Amino acid sequence: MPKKGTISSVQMAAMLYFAIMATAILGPPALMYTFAQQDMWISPIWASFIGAFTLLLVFRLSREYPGQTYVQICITVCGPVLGRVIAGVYVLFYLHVNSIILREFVELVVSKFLYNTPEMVIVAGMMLLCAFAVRGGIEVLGRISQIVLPVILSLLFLLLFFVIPEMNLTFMLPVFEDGLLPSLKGAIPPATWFSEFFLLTFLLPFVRDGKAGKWSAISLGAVMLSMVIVNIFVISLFGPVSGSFGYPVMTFIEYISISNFLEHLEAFVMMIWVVGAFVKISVFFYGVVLGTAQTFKLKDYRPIVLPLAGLHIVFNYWSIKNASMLVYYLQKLDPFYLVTFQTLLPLVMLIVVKARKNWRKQG
Amino acid sequence: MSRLMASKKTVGAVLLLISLQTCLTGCWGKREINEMSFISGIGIERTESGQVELSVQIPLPMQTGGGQPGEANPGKNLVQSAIGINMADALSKLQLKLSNQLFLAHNRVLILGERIVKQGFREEVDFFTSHPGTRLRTYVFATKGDPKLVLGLTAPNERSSAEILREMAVQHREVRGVTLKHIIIASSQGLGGIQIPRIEVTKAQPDKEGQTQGISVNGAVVVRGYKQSGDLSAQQVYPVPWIRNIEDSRMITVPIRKTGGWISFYLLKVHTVMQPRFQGQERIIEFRIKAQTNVIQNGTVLNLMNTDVLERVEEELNKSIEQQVKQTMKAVLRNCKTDLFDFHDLLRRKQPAEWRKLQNQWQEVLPTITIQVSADCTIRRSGMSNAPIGIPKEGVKGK
Repeated sequence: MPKKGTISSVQMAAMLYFAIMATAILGPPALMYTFAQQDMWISPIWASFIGAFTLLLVFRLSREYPGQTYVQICITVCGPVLGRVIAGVYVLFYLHVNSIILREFVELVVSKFLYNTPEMVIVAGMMLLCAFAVRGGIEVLGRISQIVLPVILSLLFLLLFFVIPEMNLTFMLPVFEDGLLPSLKGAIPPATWFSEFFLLTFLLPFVRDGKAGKWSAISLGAVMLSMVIVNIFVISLFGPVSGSFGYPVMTFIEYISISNFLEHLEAFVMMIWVVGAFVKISVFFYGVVLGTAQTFKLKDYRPIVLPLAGLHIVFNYWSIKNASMLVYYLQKLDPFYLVTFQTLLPLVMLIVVKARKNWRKQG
Repeated sequence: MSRLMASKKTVGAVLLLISLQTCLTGCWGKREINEMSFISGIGIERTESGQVELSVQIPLPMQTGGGQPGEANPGKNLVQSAIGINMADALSKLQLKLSNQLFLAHNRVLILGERIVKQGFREEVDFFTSHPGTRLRTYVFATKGDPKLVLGLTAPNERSSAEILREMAVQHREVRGVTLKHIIIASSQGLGGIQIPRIEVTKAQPDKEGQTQGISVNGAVVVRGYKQSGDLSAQQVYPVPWIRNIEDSRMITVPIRKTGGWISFYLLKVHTVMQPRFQGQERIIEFRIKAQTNVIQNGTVLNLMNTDVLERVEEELNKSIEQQVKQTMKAVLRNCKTDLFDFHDLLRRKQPAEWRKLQNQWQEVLPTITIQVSADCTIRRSGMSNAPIGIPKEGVKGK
């Protein structure tokens, strides 16, 4: 392995925030509306329980095996052969998920802004940038997140501030019209995003200041709060048509017109989108690279960064054929796919670990 | 030796960077501003054969700008139109007539022709929501007759007629706010409706030939499900902002029956609360309107400094507002049969049990709703003068 870097808890929290929020701003509000209607702003609160549970799992596992990522834990627990198979599946899983995130990113850029640009330029450009960042190592990623987070957040809230005059809060009423169920159903799509807190497992070994627990909880709270705020904006601006726009946040930022002067602000949304997606893809990519290196016990992960980046590009074309498939995937498959891999299977792993421990004690 | 290698590497890297830069300029894809046609206004109308006639207004770059400040500088515009199966088809045919690339993102105004409003324009709205270059903040107007005439109008005080309309939409509150977004939201559940301001081309001096023409807003077209369901006259549209609680400062002129004459008020703030009272066959929606007003013109002999007199005048004002709102509601519910003020949402929120009973026959229920209006106005100030001006003391009532 290369010289192990160290990141601070704050950097870890920033990375996690980006790894989840970056894409959660644009797509999910529309998905949540289709299930929860005017209660959509409550859904992230339910979904955040998945996030909390996932974080808890990661911490419990790392308490059993300090300084190890999930991939290493797999190999330690299940033995060199079976463990490597499971670890390999996880690496492929993250490769697949990350390629879909890449697709999400490209999809918006191509459909809204650069529709004349060859897709490959955008895909490869982004992947190359991420590859450089990942080659730089975990410290580079941590610092990038820490630097851009305040910029992106203040930009986002400034944009939201401009939309306030257009809001119509009566669209949020009646709360709980059909009981709790719609808002619980609406929690399914964001559960996907919250389960991505599992990425912590790749970051935790590098956090050495002992405040990881506190800061990951803050990150979780920040993600939940951001989602709730964004959803309140979406529902109070679009009411019954919140589900009709693929990217409602983009659409309402476009709607801003302050005294005929401050208009066409969607370029700023694009800025948030590109920067956010860059950090998100990089963090996932780091997971893939580190996971691969640990599965095959490589001394250094840097030589495999570029080849894996190439694989992402290919996967990005293989996995999703068109925009409709992307929405279908995000709405119908992703929640079960991601929650299974990032929350349920680790839970099984934890149970196995605990059971063996007890067994040994008794035996 | 190693140093030589290093410098060779550096030179190579620099050369590579320089050669890369030539690729990054992107000159082959350049498009200069004067090679583009920025659309400033769009008009659509249904043809006899059911196709769409799309007209666009394109400001000509040579003529805009310049001139002395304060001097009227009428812009010149090009109006072109094409007929196609739908919007997209018409747009592509329109492109064939123009040398420059059409650019949609700066369009602000959509003018619907008379026929297309009557026959429905849902597919056309879909173009605006699907196309990446259009925006939801497009102010929508309905016109009597051909939208081309409105687009072709030269405006003495603005760059183009589209710019006039956009200004109108922002400044005049009775037309304010009707953008594509509002129309989409109002039509989404098939229950609500919205008023689209109706514009007319007027001549400043009707007898003179070639006089500058103007645009005036005259009433509104009521639309339900992207289709015209009725009309509101200018007078009937007047109270709509009051009911919608749009911050508004407007005049109302009230006849004073007892003494004769009129008093005009400036409405500072109007706030309407709607309360449904549905019970079996009794379907009532109660409007409680609160308003604060200033007197602008007193055409009576009443002394408004006298609080007793003021109270009587307030009553007259209340009555007048109640009457106007009732007339509007009658036109909306009986003639247009449109749920312009989202009573369905109101009922759903306030009386969900009643709503569940009525939701399937809402369209039939609508005309049977009784509207009760009670206005409560406060006159805050009676103008800059104390007593009616120019009347001898003996003539003034209520000293």
